Amino acid sequence: MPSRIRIALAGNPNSGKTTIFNAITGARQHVANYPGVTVEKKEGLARRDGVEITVIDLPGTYSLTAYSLEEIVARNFLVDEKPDAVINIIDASNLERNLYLTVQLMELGLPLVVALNMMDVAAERGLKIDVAHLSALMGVPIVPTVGTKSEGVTELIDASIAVALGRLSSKPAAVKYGTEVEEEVAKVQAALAPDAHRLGKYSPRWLAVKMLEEDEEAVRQVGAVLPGAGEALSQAKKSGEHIRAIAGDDPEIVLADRRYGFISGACQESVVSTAESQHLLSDKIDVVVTHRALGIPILLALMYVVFYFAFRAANAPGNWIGAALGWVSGLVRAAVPASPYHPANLQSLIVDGVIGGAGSVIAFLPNVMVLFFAIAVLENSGYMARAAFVMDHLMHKMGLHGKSFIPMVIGFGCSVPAVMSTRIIENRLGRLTTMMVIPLVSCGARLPVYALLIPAFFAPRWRAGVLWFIYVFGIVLAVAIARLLRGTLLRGESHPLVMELPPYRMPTLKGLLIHTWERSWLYVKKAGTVILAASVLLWFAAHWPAPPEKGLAAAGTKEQANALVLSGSLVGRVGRAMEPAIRPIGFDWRVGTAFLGATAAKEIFISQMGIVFSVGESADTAAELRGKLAAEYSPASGFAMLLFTLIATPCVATVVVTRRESGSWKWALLQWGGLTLVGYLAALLFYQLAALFGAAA
Amino acid sequence: MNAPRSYTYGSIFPLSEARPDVPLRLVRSTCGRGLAAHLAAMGLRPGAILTVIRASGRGPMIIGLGDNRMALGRGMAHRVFVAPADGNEASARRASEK
Repeated sequence: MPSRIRIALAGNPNSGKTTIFNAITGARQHVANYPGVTVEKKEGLARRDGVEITVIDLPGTYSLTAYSLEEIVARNFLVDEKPDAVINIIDASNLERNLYLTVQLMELGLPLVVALNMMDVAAERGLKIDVAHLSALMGVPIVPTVGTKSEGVTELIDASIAVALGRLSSKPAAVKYGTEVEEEVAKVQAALAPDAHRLGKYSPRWLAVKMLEEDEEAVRQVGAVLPGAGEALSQAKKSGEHIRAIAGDDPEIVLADRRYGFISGACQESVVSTAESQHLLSDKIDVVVTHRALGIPILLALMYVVFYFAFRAANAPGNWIGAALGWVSGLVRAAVPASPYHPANLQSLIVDGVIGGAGSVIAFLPNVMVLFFAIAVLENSGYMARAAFVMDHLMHKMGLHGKSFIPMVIGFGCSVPAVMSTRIIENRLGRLTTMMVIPLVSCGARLPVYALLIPAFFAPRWRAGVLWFIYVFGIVLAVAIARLLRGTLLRGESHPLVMELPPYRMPTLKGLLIHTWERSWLYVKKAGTVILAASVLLWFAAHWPAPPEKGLAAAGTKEQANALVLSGSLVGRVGRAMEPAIRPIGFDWRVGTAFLGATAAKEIFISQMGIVFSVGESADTAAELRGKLAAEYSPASGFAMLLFTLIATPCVATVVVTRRESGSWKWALLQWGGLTLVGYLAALLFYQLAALFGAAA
Repeated sequence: MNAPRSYTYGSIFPLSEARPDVPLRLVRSTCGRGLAAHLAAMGLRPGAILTVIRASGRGPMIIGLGDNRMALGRGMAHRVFVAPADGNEASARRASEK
């Protein structure tokens, strides 16, 4: 008897699939990508009665057609990997629509267990479901659950183990399409029959149905596998025409209709509704939140609240971490000897390169965690879909639709997952445009840079306002550039919006914490690897080639020695060479040097400035650096730095993922070069205007 | 938007011209086969009964499909054809613009 099984979770978006996944696996989760594509693959582990269960959370889909990448991924996983059991999570309060996917899973003939989720909501809406009868009609075990309260989850695990091990039968009922359609299905199946042994993992009936629907993926695979596929394909075409002629609609619509027929038959027999469809609380909230005039102000206000908390509430723990890092630096200084005149030594490498580099990122972890948490609240409560709705009209003017807004909001966390999530946009032109402008949405890595610069140059009462302006300006610029792109390079028709607005729900703390933990861990991993490596590399670039010992000995103070080393180093030389180009935007070679570092990752700007200014004397390095910045640069320069951070030089990770998602370096390089140019021009325009009004001194 | 000629008879009109809060029956989605099948999977299939919950200006509309709420872009609403569920066109359709 196998003690290891694999179970896949399938379900509609908003069916509570993630909640059930969390309830089954707890924190034992792992996020990766499906090979070759960037659809997120979540796996988790669970153990029960000595059985080790790997749970795979498939992407949420409404069906198993080839309409979106998510559907293809979910379908290919089910067909190719043949999990030991499939748990289909369905929203009991929205039964018929959710059962549509169930029927398609039944057609695949996999061992299926249905989790009838959100039973509490269904009861509230006056729905009485005869679970045993529905189960008998469908031929699969059904377990009622309330994912948010972990009710029924143990029973669900037990049932799926039993099905996986063959102790509980799951024999999905055959869905019949009616005499005329069934005849055509049989004809296509017959045409496939001679090669049936080559079809392997596909059931001939399922393939025949998919071919009737002219499912591109199925047609492609049949063509690839079968040498005699031509006959089957032409039969499928002929049969499709026949169905169109007698039913007056495209075959896939006719088949969908028959599936719904089966579903409503089953529901009529097993569901009693004791209440009329009521005016839901969600509708009342929507009257305000999606209001024509109020919708966008509400969205902006909510964003302001999010950033207020990310900036203010998370500052204290950030300072504690900063103090702890200062303490560690002190220990290193005491333990590792350093030449008093030569800054390029082991102590400096550890304190400035390693602790300064990765440490400064860790110090901003609380801000980033609050941001991720807040985004999870917006997402899990159902508000995010309203945000897409509210923005649709505006996004449409950019040649995009409301859905593009979602990747942009994710961009507040990190541009990398944001670029990946553009996959929810079906239209290629809309997707490319969204990808190009995502870096204009201020990511979590830029927040620490703002958090460093803003207090250095602006009085406390202005700080939240300046931060808000930078975020909003990025969005406005994204709109403008997207419009420009849609009118020129990426001209073409945009796809219309179709999106479910799920009822508002109170997010569960567990779900929020798991989400925040997952994202924050990715951020820390980035700090621990890419940024640490880049920071150490930059430390060497900033200390090599070393100046002659004689010159150093002549330098009176440590600061002079530092300045000497840096100005002679590789970074210093490049920075100096750049100076004529960046002086008009209010930067000197040191700022240029820091921005050179920021091309690897935005937050390196901080550590690089720290090295440039030899910060590390006091416990609070951030405050020390702010003091030096305020002494060296005008607020106009500071603001130009903010603009440049916002717009120019998207980080290496973003450029790489854009290349992968767009399929060519052309778009990745256009993104980098174009945004850097725009960032330069914006900073130039601002700084020169400020100089004109005498504010740049 | 050019409706297929065979649909100019009877009281069939694009969803974008429907009045709010009147029950409508979906007749056909003329938005390409992949998208029409996707709509069907989401419950927007021929025969489905729906109501316009909110349509404001030229932005997207919210439609109700049982207890479900869906956002539908304007362009989409032009291509989904409906008929009044009770056969009364006058109460279901807005006076056509222009």
